[in-house]
Amino acid sequence: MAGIYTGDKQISGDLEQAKIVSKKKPHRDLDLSLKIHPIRKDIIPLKDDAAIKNAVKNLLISNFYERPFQSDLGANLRGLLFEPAGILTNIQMRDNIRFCVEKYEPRVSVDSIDITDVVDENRYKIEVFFTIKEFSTQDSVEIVLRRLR
Amino acid sequence: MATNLNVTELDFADIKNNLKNFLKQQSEFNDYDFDGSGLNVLLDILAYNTHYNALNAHYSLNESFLDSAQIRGNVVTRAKLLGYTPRSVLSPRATVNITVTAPDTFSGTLNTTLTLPRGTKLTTQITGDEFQYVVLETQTATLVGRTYTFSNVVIVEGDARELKYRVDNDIENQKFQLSDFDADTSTLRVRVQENEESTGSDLYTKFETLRGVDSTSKVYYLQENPSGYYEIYFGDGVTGFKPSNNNIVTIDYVTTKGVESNGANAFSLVDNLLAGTTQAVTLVSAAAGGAEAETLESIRFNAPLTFIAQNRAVTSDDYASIIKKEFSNIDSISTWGGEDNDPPDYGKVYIAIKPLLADTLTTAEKTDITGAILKGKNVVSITPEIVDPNFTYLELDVFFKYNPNLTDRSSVELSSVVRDTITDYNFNNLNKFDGVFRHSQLTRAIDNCDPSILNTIVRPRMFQNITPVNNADNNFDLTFSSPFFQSGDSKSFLLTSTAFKINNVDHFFGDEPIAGSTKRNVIVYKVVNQVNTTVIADAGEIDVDNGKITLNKFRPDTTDVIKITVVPNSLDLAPKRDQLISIDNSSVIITPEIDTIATSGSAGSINYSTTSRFKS
Repeated sequence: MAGIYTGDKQISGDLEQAKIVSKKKPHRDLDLSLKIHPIRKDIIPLKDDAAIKNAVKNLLISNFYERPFQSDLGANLRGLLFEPAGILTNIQMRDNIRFCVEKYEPRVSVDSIDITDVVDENRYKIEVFFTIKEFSTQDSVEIVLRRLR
Repeated sequence: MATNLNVTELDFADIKNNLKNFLKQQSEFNDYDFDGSGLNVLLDILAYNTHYNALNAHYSLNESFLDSAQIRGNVVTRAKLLGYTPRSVLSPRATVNITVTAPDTFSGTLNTTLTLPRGTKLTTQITGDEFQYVVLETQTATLVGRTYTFSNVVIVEGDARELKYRVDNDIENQKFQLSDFDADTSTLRVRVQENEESTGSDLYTKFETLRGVDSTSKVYYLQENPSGYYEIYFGDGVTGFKPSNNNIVTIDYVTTKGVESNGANAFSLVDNLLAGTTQAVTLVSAAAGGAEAETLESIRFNAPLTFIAQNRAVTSDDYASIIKKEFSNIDSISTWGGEDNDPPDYGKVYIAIKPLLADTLTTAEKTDITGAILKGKNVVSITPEIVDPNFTYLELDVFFKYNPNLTDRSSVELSSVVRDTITDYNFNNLNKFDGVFRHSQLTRAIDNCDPSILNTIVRPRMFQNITPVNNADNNFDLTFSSPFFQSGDSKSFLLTSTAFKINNVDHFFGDEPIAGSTKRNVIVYKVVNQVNTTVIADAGEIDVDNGKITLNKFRPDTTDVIKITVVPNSLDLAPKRDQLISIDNSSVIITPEIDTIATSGSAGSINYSTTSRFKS
């Protein structure tokens, strides 16, 4: 009997239905910038890789104790902004980013992290390269850490 | 899948989970389960807001009820609805006589009277710390010979404070605050004068009851405000007189250190009443009654009781709650109706009070309770009668077996630990009107006080002390808290006593059975050639079943204390009415013994000895 194994049950018969079952569930998230669609006059949801990229970015810019009752959520990068700009802080940032993304964003795996210490401008430029597991595509998020004034 | 939003949860995580379950019903957004998603940030805010409101509602509701409120201001406000004002810190009060004597060399003029003003300072010391006392009421003494004598002057510990306020009726419900946390409101005096220039003033009394209060009544109301200070306010012109604009309110009171100087008994005057004279202070009653401000738990406990009593003493419990509220020098109190007295005494209510620092109340304190505190609150035909507590003392024979391999304490040290345990038991469980001597509780406490103690035997005996008058017939009625142990018509004495002299010879009390009765006859005997010889055959009676001993017709030579000892029928002893049970520490005999079986196994059983239940 012809069939497709979907992981938890054997589906037999109508293969068209099997296609529907195996269809990927799209990722849809709320864009916190709340941009309005010019025609539909509704907010524009973020979809799939854009939604995942946005989630990674949200995690990286979150500091410890920012989210209520989840004190360790976030990469706490801003918390390291005023630490001495050296190798130790650099390592700490990498650890924080890896730990945070692994723990809170299971949809991606971090490939590499690029941290540039722009001493003259008192800022860090951080670029995180990751693979979206579901789509096997690579993407990156860039964050610039600098003091407000 | 949830079809509705569940609203029963209170914790942040549960609320957030409910929101997630709710979102599972829609397909517009489905990233809510990932912590980095924008939707998750929104859920955090929603859940936090819900949690915040739930917590706020929870706290607000808790603070709305007397039983659950935690903030003192709220407890006090709830108690106020029940007509209850929490008791402030109280200063210890002592009574003294003060004499001022002019020497023969006195050069000034001696007036016929001398005034001892309110606020006159005295001083005392307790364990090296100095405390100031002040005279509470102005008193006047007349010159007799060259001496002025102020009798029964009430002095209280603390500093006399005076505050003046101007009445401004433009302020709605103007309150006048006592600006000290440690103000003793029982010393409060409120006077109102017309204006700053006027010399006379009206004395206002504290509002107690609506009865007889009208628009002309000079009363003030006292309450504790949410900041913890006491404040007073006046009537609205209907219920109590309303002072006019620009009247001056003078409030004076004493600030105190509370319990710290309880027991002070040696005072000397600091202020000089009349220059060139000799001043002496003699004690009438030592300082007592100092107490801390009422605690939250105490307010919670007493406010409903006072509300139930409605400031009326009807049931016996009402008497206890009113006296406890108004009189602080109480360690333990027991009240019972005359119908429950032995013998019944209808038309009376009996009150027994064990004060904090003494065994009995002073006559002045008793008069204060039956007069100022209970008068006007008790039912007209019922007379309150204050009786002194009746102590039944216990002497204990304590035997314990121990395994020396399980402790590094010596037998003397173990005995000391056991003695401390018994002292603690006496302090924590006895000396109260509801303090039952529970035999197993005490043996358990001794067993547990050191791991090496294996078993304990405690033999309690009850005793009371009597102080006879010499060369006259003495009569005593002793009531013990328990029936006596009697084995049939035993010829052995139930009662034993210490020796007392008659014609300079040692005599003792003993007893013998009465044929056909459970009662026994008390005799007085002396020992002649090692034989008991009865001297007085009918020196009283023992009511074995009711635990009573009557002694009469004995005339000792001396007034030495005689100790009368009996064995209780039960190992547990429960006090009734005015009875208190107390372990006499000096009569506790502790005997440690090494447990030979525990140390040597079955070989030790040969020398193993046990202890008799009865004293030989």
